[in-house]
Formats: sequence, C-alpha cells, structure tokens
Amino acid sequence: MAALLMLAAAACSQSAAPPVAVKPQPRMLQPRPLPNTAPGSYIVKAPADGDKSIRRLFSEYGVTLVRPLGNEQFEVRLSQDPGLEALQRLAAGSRGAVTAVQPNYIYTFH
Amino acid sequence: MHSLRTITIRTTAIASLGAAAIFSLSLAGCGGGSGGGSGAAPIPPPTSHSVTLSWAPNRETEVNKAGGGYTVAISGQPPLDVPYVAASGITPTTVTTTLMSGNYLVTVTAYSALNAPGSTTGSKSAPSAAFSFSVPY
Amino acid sequence: MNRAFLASLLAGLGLLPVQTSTFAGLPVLPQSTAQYSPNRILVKFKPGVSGPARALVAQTYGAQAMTALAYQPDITVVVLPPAQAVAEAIRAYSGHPSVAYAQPDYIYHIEAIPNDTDYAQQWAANNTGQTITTGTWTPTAGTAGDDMSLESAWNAQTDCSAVTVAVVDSGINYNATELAGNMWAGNARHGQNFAADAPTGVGSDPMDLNGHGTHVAGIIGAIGNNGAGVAGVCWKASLMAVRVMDASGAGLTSTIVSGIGYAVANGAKIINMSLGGNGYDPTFDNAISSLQTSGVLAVVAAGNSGWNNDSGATPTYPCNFTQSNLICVAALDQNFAHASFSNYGATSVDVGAPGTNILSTYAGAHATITDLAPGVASTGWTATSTTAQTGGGWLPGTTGVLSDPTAGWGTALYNAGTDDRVYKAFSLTGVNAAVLDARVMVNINSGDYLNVNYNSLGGDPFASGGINAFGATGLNLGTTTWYAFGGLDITPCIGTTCTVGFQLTSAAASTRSYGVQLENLTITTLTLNNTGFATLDGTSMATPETTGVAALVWAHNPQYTYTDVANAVKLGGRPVTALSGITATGNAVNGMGSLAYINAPTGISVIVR
Repeated sequence: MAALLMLAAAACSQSAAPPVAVKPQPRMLQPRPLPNTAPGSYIVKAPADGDKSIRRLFSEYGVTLVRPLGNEQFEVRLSQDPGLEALQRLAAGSRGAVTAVQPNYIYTFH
Repeated sequence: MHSLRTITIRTTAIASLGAAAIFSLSLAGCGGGSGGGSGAAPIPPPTSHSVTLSWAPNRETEVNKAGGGYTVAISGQPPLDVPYVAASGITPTTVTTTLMSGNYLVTVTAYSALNAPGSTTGSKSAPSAAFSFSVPY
Repeated sequence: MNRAFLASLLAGLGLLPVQTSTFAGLPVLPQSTAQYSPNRILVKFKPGVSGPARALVAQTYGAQAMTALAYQPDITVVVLPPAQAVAEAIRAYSGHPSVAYAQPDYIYHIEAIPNDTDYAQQWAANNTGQTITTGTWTPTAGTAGDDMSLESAWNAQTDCSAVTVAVVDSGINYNATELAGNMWAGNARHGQNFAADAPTGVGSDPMDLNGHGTHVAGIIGAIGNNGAGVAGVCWKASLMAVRVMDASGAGLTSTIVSGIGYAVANGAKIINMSLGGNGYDPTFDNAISSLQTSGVLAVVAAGNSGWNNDSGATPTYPCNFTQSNLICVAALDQNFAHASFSNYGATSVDVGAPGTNILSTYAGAHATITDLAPGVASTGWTATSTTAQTGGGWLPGTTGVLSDPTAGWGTALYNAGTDDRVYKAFSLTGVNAAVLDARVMVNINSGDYLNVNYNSLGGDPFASGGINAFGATGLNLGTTTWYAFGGLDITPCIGTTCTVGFQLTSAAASTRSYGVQLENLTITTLTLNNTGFATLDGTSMATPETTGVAALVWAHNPQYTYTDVANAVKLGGRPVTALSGITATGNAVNGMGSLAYINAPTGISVIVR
C-alpha cells in the first residue's frame, strides 16, 4: 500500500512606477505638535481620470500641481491650503471621484 | 502462556489508510481458542517496507556544495546522512530506507561546512517541522 | 587483499621507498569556503597498530590513498573515495577497534583583511578596542570582538555586485574615488533624482548635495582592498543613487514613494532608507507592500530620538510598518551597548548594528557663513516697513539680533496691516549647495505671516523673482524658547548676489502678537570633492551596515528570496545583552553568522511501498 503526503509553499509577482522630479516645498518650524507635513501639499487617491477629478474637486483652492505617483495616487499642490479636514470632506462627497486624501509628510535623516 | 499484547496505532491525515484516527488491536495467545472472547481481529505480524522521504531543496549555496547535506532523523532509527555528491554536483533531497510497520516522526536538518562564529564543525539549520507518517502492516 | 593497493598504501605510510613527494597522487584541494577538506580525513590509530594493519583498515573503508603526516607519524591522512562524505567516513573509522579517533582535516585561513589605508579605524568590521581618532561619540574606544565579524565573512564573500542596492537618500557623489567603480551602471548618473532642488531646477541628477547619502553608500559599498580609504561591507557593489532628500536633508512622501518605484522598476533587490518620520503614512505603507510583492527587501533606520517606537505615542515610520520584507535597525556603540540616541522597540525594531563613530565616504567639504551672533553688531541688512511703528519693524541693530517689533521683545506688539521686510546679500560662490538655518522665536496670529525668501539675482527677495523657502501663520510659541528652522535648502540661490530675507506681514484687522526674533543665522555650504570622508553617528549608519550584510548574503545565495535573506540577517546575528527586550531578536548583525545561517528544511513528503 502506498501513501503519499505533500506539503507545499508559495511564490511572487512584479510592479513599476514612473518618476518625475519636482520643486522643493517650504519647511515648517520644529518641533511641532503634529506630524511634520508640507503645507499645501497632499497625496490624493483618485481611481479613474484622476487628474481631471482632482482639479475639478479642489479648484477653489488653486491647484498648482497634479503629479501621478502610481497606484492611482497623485501629489497635489494647492496655493491656498484649507487644511486636511476640508479636503477630506470634499473627497467624501465626491461619489468616489477622489477616495482618499493624506498629508505629504516630511521625512528627515536618522 | 502468552500475555495479552495491546498495540496502539495512531494514523495522521493519511487518507489512503482509510482507517479511524485511533484504533487498537489486541493479540491473543497462541494455541487453542482460549484467549480473548472479545471478537477483535488479530494483529498481523509487522512487515518491512521501502520508505522514500523527500523534501524541498534548501536554497543555501553552502548546503548545495561539498561539505553540505542533510541529516534525516526518523524516530527510533539512527540518523541518515544525505551529503553532497561530487559526481553529480548536487545535494540530494531524497532518501530511501527500510522501515518496519509502525508510526514514525521525521525531521530534516540541513548542514554545511561553513563555520558559524564560534564553531569549528560547520553549521546546521534548526530541524524542520516534524512530519509524521505510518508504515502499514 | 590487492597487493598493488597494499603496496601503494604502504608506500604512503613511508614503509616502502617512495620516488615522489609525500602528496603525490593526492587531489589538489579545490578553492573552497569550506572549513575542512571535503575528501580527506585524519586518522589516529591506536599504539601498536602496524602499517599493514592500518592499510587493511583503510582498504576496508574504500580509501583511495593514505599517508603518514610528516613529523607526525601517528597521524594518517586518508583520502576518501568520491562517494564517501567526511561525516560518514569519520563515523566508520571511529568505530573501528584499531582507531583512536578520526577527524576532519580542517582548513585554516588568514582572515581576510583589506588593505585600505583607513581600515584600522573601521571598528564595525573588526573591533580591536582601537580609538576612533575622528570619533565624537563617547566611547571612542570599545571592546575587542564587538563587531560584525566581517573579516571572517570576507573569506566567503566580498563581491555583492550581483545584488543592486538602492540608496534612497540625499543622492550619492558617484564621482567619489571610493565609489565610482561600485555604482550601478543603469544610466550615466547611476540613478535618478526626485528632490529637484538643484540650481538647474527640475533635473535628473542624483548627485548628493548634502553628504549623508554618500556616507551611507560608502558603508555599504566603498571599494574594498584598493589600498585607499575605507572598505565597504561589500568590497564590490552595485549602488543605485535614488535622491529623494534635498540638500537640507528633507524628503516627502511623494519623493520617497517615487524613488522606491524607480528602484524596483530598475532591478534593485535591496533598498536602504536611513530616514524616518512620525506620522502614519498610508501611501508609504502601500509602497512597502508593493516592494514586498516585488520580492524586494527594505532595510530602514529605527530613529535617533532615543525613544520606544512601540509606545504608541511615538512611532517612527517606515520602521513601524509591519511588512515582513522590512528590517528595522537600532544603533550600537563600540562596547555593543545600545547607543542612547537610538530608538528601540521589542516589536518594531529587529536588530542592532554599529552606529557610532562610523568612518565612511562623504560628498565633499562643508563651510559655514554666520551672521546675527548675539552681542555682535551685524551690518549689511536692509529693512523696510509699510507702517510707521515706534521701535517697530525689523531693525538690525548692535545687538546682533533681528526682531520685529524691535523694541520691547515680549511686551511690544507688531503693527496691524504691516509688511515688514529685512534682507541681506551673501556671496555663495564656488559651492554646490547651501542650507540656511537660524534660531527663532515666533509669535504671530492666524492670518499674519512669517516668510523666509531668497533671490539669486539680489535685491528684495520678496519682490518679483524671489523664492519662498519657509512660511508660517498662526504660531504663538512664546517669548523664551528658541526653535530652529531645521535647515532650509537655498541651493538655487548659489552665486555672487544671493539675498536672504525675512518678512512679517499682518492683516489689517490683526489682533497682533509679539512678533519674531532671530539670531545665529547660519548658511552651511557644501563643495563637492571626490576624496571626502566623515565620521558620523546614527541609526542612519547602523542601517547600511545591515544592508551590506544583506547584500553579502544574497550575493552568496543567489537562489534566496527576501524572506531567506531577512531570516539570515536577523537570526544569524549574535545575541547581545543590550538588545534583549528592546529589539525583536536581541541580535547584533553579524556578517559571518548570516552567511553561515541555514534555513530549516521544508516540504517533507513520504512514499511508502
């Protein structure tokens, strides 16, 4: 009588993203009570036709830059920064045109 | 007089045995029908079987070159050494041995000749997870 | 017994005339990293066992040849048949009643020591208790043996060039003498720039304008054994320069995730990130997950705030991300004690590595221009104001301190509806980068602004053509605690007529506040050169020490996955008391331990016939 048992394991896959360089953002004073973020600069997730959706939704705040980062994410610059909460409220009412807004965080050397 | 012998055989999830998870048999003494009376089937005598163990090849370069290999530890048996074979240029990942009927646990440990700090006898891995199997009667 | 075989064996024992050398017929040992010969053993027979008897034993076990050691006739070298492993032979001979013992014929190496001129100062590779003469972190001399065992590791592997390492940092001075031959060759500039603050504006040059990235790169892969400078953990390497931090050492989520995407798309297997921030960042988190999907390992710094990353109140990212392709590194000093500046965490921080007084390559030389020293009269400032304020507006006076309002700091308020500016020209020539900082106290209400601007063409930097480097509104931080800008990159201002200025504006209906006070203005410049070195401290340095070991391991084991490499780095380390309970493994990274580490076998199956 033959008996056969097997144990097995799994495997991987790939992805990519296009790079574009941008101008520097003004800094904020240290230390701060909140995580360090670049003023007027946000990372926005917009699934379909992202550039147009973002410019339309945030038009009143003076959109100066919409740069794709891959994975439906965009770096967005506003000449008049209303703050994260205001932008997130707009996104919530956009019926999925814009699905997420987060600050563009500042990172430093360790 | 022969004493009653009870053999407990535990199976793992080996579907081909088609048996209950745990069962026990008892052997009556020889000669006449005086023993038992329980109606249980007699235990057959143990038999010898060829058993081939295989495992996934380790990805370490040192295991797969001269001085490398595997140690296969089967419960109740002397360890089996499976070293790199210069003639073929590979370290095998399979070994065949002969075992009597029964239940066994096996672990595999990989080794190489490259010394870890503080060692002069090469390196070895932690043992693999234990794998249990049965050799039938 | 075969008489010819016996004759040859006896000849090997010196019992018959031998025409050739003792080792005639013995196979040449192959180039090997093994610790003992794979095809011969040493056998000591018991006293009184004759030559013929020994030969019989050897023939029984299939020996190809045997010979007595010169000057050690009791020890017999036995050459094994091809199919016989050393371990098996030792077991067989050891079990024979005529044999006292059998053992491997061990191979001894002089440990691999590179000939780089400053190598003796690299305690992380070999700690002899030496004093690091350029070190500034106490102690500058430590405990012999507290190192990463790199000299042993280098016997097995020095070349990591098959494993491209992306240094996601401030760029790399890819022309540095100690790095040029070890740079990734994917394009002419060996990488890409995503923090375009270069004088030319948006650009693709990942040249390091800060110095940090070049230091990190040298720790990983400064050319080793070239008779100059230092040796990287990898003597040969493939270093990809991915510039995401500007000259002041600041980067953004957007620049970093772009850099990570570039690195993966261009074949990097390991990414070094000696950087961090303190807010949970979903975009960065997703980027690490993408790395994991691509089979890429990320090695990151724990942080230099001296706190517990696991406390909940003080996480550090990317260290606190939880993906299994991430290794987070704390810093050890020369006694393998936890460096007090180093963050730690029993969950988030995996290992420790040397991170104090680390000598490595640097991008060039710094110089400093200073102004506004307290008590030292400062001249050359131009001040303007749109409102007449008694003692108000910026007035660069004899105190060396700039403030607005000038009189009565902490009592007087700035005017409403004012636009007060002060600026000065600085000559920034012959340099490649410039970073401005100052000590500052800020008290401005919402709707009132503090701006810092510069203009490379001179004149009022708040007029047309000026560039804004900093802006703030609604900050009332008090009148006794100094803050710093933390470094403002003014590299585009380089030239003979760079003006730097400060502006306070207030709304017409402003309720006013105490204003702004500035002192100790510093412009730090960098002039690139190709032969610079620096000694630095930080988890920034511990991280590339670990990255280098990861690259050695992956180069030595090309079949490895990122999981195998991570296991080898984390579990092949050396247990260190100082790291117990404050890191997940309690281990200090160890090059030899990681190269020798073997993953437990898997996938056992059985066929019973």
